[in-house]
Amino acid sequence: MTEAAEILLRSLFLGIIYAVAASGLALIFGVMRVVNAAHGELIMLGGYIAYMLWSAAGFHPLLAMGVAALLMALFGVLLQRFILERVVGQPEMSSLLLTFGLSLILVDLARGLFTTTLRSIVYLQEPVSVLGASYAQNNLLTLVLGLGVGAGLFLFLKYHPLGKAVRATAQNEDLALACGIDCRQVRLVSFGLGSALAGLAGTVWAINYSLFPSVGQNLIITLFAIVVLGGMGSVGGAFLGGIILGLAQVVTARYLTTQLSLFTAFILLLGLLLIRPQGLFGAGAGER
Amino acid sequence: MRLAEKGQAAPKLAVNTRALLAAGLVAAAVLALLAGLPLFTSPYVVNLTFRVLLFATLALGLNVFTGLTGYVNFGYSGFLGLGAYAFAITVAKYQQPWPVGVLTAAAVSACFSLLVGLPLLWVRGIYFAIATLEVAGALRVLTASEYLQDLTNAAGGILILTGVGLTGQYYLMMGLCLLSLAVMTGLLLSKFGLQLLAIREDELAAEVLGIPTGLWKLLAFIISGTIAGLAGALLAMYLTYIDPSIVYDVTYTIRPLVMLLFGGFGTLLGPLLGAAFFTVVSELIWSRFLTYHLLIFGVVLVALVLLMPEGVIPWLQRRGILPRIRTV
Repeated sequence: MTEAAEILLRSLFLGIIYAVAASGLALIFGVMRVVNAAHGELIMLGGYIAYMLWSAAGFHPLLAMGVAALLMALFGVLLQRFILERVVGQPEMSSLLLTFGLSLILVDLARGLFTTTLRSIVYLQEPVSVLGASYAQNNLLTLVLGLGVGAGLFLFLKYHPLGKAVRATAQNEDLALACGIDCRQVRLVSFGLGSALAGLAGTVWAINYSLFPSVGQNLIITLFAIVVLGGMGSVGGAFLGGIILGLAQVVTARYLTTQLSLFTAFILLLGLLLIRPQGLFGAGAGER
Repeated sequence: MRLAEKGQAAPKLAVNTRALLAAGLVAAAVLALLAGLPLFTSPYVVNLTFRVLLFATLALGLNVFTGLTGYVNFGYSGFLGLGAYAFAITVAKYQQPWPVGVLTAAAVSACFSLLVGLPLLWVRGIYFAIATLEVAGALRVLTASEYLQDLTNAAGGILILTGVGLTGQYYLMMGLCLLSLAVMTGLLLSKFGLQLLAIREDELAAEVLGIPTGLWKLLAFIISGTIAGLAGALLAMYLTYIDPSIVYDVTYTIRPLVMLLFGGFGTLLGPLLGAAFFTVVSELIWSRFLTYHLLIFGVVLVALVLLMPEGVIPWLQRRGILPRIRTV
């Protein structure tokens, strides 16, 4: 019983970070049909910004997280406005190659700027006992934050006019345009929001684990699996997929070995692609 | 009208024969130069040319599948790594002569391509690219895991001593590159290759026209994977030591892809041009700025997608500098 509770909690702790990270990726794909291969690097960059604010400027970790998210939103908007806007409407492959190029650039820049030393934000590392097992306090904080972000994202997409515009654009861009929605602006908002989510995820990652320039390259494979698992472009699916993958990896790490966690992601993904190519929440045929 | 067409056609044919002769002469000259290289240059140049040939082979191999069908194999490094490991295990662990190792690498990568291709080719477009990325990731993790310790020595790597010198390795790689070139030429001239191109242009239409798209994609995928496996075997022989982080390195996916993109998907000269250009450029960068090595590839990738998405060869073809035939 205690063991089951522990596995479940640990999966949630890991899964919620994945969920926040993957929701940005799903949002960007949903609205723009852009497969953002640089999303891992946005997470890495967000984490480093927060780390720098915390270690060099003495910001409180939570404040650093907020500032990092804002800066990443700005970065995302600029990226979208000046680079990605030019491949909107082109085959998904060109956006994949483009963002892949961006990711190479960002990783190398990070290597030059931040070196390859492991960095992490020390915050709330004291243990706390929950249901018979002990965890670091920051794990619980992460869970609360992640759920908060999920709820906020849900409310924004469901009720805010801009959120509705985002959903409309994702569903049918031509119709959205015909209804007077400024799809260009929607794309800016979506990429900004996606990048901000990446910034949050990066900070949370830096608090729970550690940062290094190629952390995003390791993460992106898992994130892609999650987004495909949940259905490309489905933000809710990304949240559920994140938790599922967290569970799968925690179980693998506990009963087999931590080295195989990527393998689990692959098996899950392959199985799902065969049974339901459009993902858990994806609509339409497996084409997209 | 007909007469005018005929009148135009005659000189054009003459130009074509002359162009063909010129192309043949250039090809023969390049071939002679490559064959004689180890005789009159330094080992440094031979090493560099070896790498050019390696990447030309990989870019050609990727071209067979990605260039013709339009499906991007984002896990190409996985097939290379698998071939390298099959070779290393056969030669180092089972003490077989190196030709057996090379054949094993070809067989293993072909079987693996079949196994992975069967389920994956159901998956379309972007899902396919993501799934292949996961395949390579999974292979790397599996190779490095403790479960395969006995076979792969996990993260410890394998030392391979074949006794083949640099010159021998160079000629082997040159042979493989020529083989890949021959395969690609054969495909471009055949109906099979044309049908693959039809899949790239419009898969649904190709299917409606009676092309067995699934089977054809699978065949191209297997050929492409086998070329990567063979290249992996020769790479393992060249490196004499491999571990998962070396042969499953994602640069073995990125570089051939960028080279192919630079040269032009589905072209014959494109991969060769891309491989020569990028290997030499990256050598120049490598010796000066060690850190910002991949950055250059990133910048070029971004610039290519934005400014010249079609690639150099089709760009030249559109301007009439190169003839508009498929086997360019």
